[in-house]
Amino acid sequence: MSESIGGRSNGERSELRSFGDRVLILVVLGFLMLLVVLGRLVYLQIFNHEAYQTQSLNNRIQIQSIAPPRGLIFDTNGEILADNRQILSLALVPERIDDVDVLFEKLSGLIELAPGELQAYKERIRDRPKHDPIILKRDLTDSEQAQLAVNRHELDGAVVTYETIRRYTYGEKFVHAIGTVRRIAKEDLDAIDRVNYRGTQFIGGTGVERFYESSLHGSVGSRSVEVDASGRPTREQPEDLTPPKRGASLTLFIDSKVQLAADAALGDRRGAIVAIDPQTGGILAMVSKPTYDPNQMLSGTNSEEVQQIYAHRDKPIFNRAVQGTYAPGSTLKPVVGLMALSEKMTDWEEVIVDEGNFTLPGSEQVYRSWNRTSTSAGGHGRVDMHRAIYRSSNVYFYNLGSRMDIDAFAGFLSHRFGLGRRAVYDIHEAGTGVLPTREWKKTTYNEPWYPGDSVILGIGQGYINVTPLQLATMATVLANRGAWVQPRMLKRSDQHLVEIVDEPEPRGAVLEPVSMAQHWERMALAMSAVVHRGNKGLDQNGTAWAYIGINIPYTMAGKSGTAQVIEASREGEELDDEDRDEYERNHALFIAFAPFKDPEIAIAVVVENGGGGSREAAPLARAVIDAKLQSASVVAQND
Amino acid sequence: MTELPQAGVRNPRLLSWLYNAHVDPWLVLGIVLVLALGLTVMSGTLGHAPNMLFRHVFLIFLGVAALFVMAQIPEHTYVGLTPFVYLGSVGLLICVLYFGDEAKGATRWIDWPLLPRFQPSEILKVALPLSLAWYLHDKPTPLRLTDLLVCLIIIGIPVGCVFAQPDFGTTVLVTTACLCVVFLAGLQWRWIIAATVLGAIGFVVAWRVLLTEYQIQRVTTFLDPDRNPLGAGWNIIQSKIALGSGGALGKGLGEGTQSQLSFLPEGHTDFMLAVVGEELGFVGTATLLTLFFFIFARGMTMSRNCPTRFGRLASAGFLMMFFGYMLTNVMMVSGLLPVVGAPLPLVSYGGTSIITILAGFGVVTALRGR
Repeated sequence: MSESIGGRSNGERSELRSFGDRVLILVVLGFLMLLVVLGRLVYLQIFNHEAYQTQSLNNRIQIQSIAPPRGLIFDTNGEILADNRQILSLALVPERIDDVDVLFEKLSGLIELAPGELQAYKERIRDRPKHDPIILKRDLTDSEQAQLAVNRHELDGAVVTYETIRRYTYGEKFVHAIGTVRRIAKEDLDAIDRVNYRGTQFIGGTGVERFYESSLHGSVGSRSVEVDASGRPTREQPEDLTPPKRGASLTLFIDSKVQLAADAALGDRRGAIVAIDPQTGGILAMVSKPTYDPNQMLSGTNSEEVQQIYAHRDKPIFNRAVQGTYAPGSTLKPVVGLMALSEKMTDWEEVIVDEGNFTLPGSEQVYRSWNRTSTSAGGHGRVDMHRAIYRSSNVYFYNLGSRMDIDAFAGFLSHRFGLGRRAVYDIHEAGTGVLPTREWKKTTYNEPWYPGDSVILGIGQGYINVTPLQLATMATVLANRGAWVQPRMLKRSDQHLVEIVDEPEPRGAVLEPVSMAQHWERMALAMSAVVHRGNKGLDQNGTAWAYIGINIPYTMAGKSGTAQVIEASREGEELDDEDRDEYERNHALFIAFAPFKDPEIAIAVVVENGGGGSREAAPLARAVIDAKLQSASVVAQND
Repeated sequence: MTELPQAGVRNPRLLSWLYNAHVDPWLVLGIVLVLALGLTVMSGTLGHAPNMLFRHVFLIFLGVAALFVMAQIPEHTYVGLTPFVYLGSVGLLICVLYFGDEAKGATRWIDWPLLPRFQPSEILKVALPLSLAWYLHDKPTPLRLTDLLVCLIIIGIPVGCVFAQPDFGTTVLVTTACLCVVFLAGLQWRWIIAATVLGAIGFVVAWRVLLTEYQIQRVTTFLDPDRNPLGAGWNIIQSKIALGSGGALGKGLGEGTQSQLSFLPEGHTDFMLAVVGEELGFVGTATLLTLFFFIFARGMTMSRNCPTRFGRLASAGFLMMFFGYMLTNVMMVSGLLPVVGAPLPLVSYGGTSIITILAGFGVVTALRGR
């Protein structure tokens, strides 16, 4: 340093001074900037600390939902019909996969993967967090699990995850009785409480599962979890745990033995069977065929099979028991008779000569008997009400029908038998059928009610349409000798249910006048003759006796029906001749109750395109009633 | 690391060793304290990646070694080497443009075999002050116009390459620090006023014509970070939350949820100050900034006492780089400036930056004379 001091020129000295000044300027500027920055830090860290503290907490603490276990469903004897099970599914975690095509190749060498799954996967990963597993295949078999476990080391990004899904003990045999859940769809999101459904994948789709959805679902639980920036949980905070509340368990009136018997009785035929306990209105069995396996629908990722179910010509998804509508045919005759009796339009003594034909005065239209042949007009000779029922005389009931006021009759059917309305308490999708009135015909066809409409209504044909459940309800009221009881699925629950607004009314809250009670009893007697009156010679036996009445160990009352199929051509379908022949055959119907005194079961059977009701439908009713009464006697013995 | 300065102050033998090693004890004390503070916080942030932490520590040792080595080199060697350093830097920057590695929309890295991956623009922090000082050391004051133009060319060539990468932050910072060198060399006040006016016009032109969409987006995001809270505004929002939630005393070392749970991106690089603020609070950030100013002020004093004009200009230029980077980084992290990619000197993770800065202090030490 010393060598340069002495030799400094004036210029150098002024340069040095100027440099020193300017360095000072820069240092002071730097200091001022430092103050600005420190001021900013004071503002952020001291004055706004609390606001940022809150934001920081919001950042890292996330409330996670714990889905509640869905309530179980039991049959009347406590047998489990629907529970939940854990399935193992193969899922992929996008962020852990290097090359998804290579991984797919490896996976499809180990387990069966449907083609197109890769594309579907690539579409599903959009708009989802990359650490979120995406299900590739549901419900792995043991051997598939083993294959995956053994090769785990080279399947980076493939994980096996647990999922809780519904399990239906009897699968397709009970699906139309208890309904089923389905995956929550986008459309559902507006209708449900989204918070309560966080973490839940299924929602009631049909039947009891749908009607009691709120109670079956339960209440969602939650826990606070610290998460990182990508939403991945880091550690749990156990003190902030709110356990979920499991859904209500339901015990139904459904009796597995009766249901299985009904399922077996119907076999492969298309149709429906509904059985009701007349004392409570409880639905004991409800079968609709063809049917489908809900378990396969829920666990299957093979959408092709599911599509086949949906597209099937005979509509297995469609619940004929509550939504199928059929002309009641002759099964309506006891009700027509009771209507005429209650209106005092006839009595049990009036005799009509049935020669097979009926014509309205001043009309040329001829209404015919069911037992006409190519050589004879048929007919049952002299018939009173009792004989008209067990022989199922058409002419007798054409006659009664022609005398009736349709609006009064419709009121009687709706009020006393639940026709034309959704009488069942807890089946959401139950249909109302069609109960024609003058006004209905005016608005529907813009036509007046013709006398001829009433004539054919007398034998259950024409505009009237009922569901099998309504037929069973009708049988229930007949079994109860007129006492109304509302059909229902639910027997009891372990929780208070929001869906139950009022407790069910006890049977027959409204008393019959004594005179009317006699009519009900005699009608029941006439119906028992349908089954039991036999060995009386040609055209003298009950219509169903030959088919079910010969060796019957108990008393039973019934009424057959054969519903004419108006048009067989179904929407947009080409039927070959053989099919057309089948689909144009009449529907076979039968309603019944047993035992005659204090009935325990009322039943309706519909066999689509089955033909004659007594021949085709009555044996099915008998089989189901056998199962019910035998299981009851077994219980009685055990007691 | 932390024991070193304390022991140094207490132990006269270490102090005298430092004198004998031709380094300035106060400067070294400041640097070591900043390094220690930064490393302490980083050890929490990079706890999950011990390899990265180890690499950082290794680079710090390498840098400190560079400081001591550079401090031994006589001034005339620097004077002689400067033209080659300048040409070498320009050459590397051109190489970056043609053979560089691209990351996040910009080409800034060179990744050649047998060499560690490095960022040539960092070298400018030392090379450009040296080059300007080399050119200006025998020019008369006040500065002639021709000399000023030559200076602008010397600055313009490498900075133009940096701008083309594109690296807007480095461009502005390096240019500003270089202009300070010209200012210290005796730039006349009326030219400064004229330049300010021209600069304002230039700014408007740059905004309208020269900046890429990516750069404009970064600036507009800064002006309104909430407009795109999950995109480009995320860094600023999260960094402010980190600083603010730290409060006066901080959440404690390793307890910063913003950084530990990855809400704060770049928590170990450009946004390291936010981690310091979150975990050590205002006490931590204020201490760090005070240490930075201490280093700057001490360095500027050394520069003023340099025996030669070359030394004065070169060391002051480097210190302006150092302090400018620090200020820009802090303003960026605290939301006063747009996110422009300026690391916090001596603290942020990043090998080239650490070594260049420490080596730069070695040069400053060497130039103060003996």
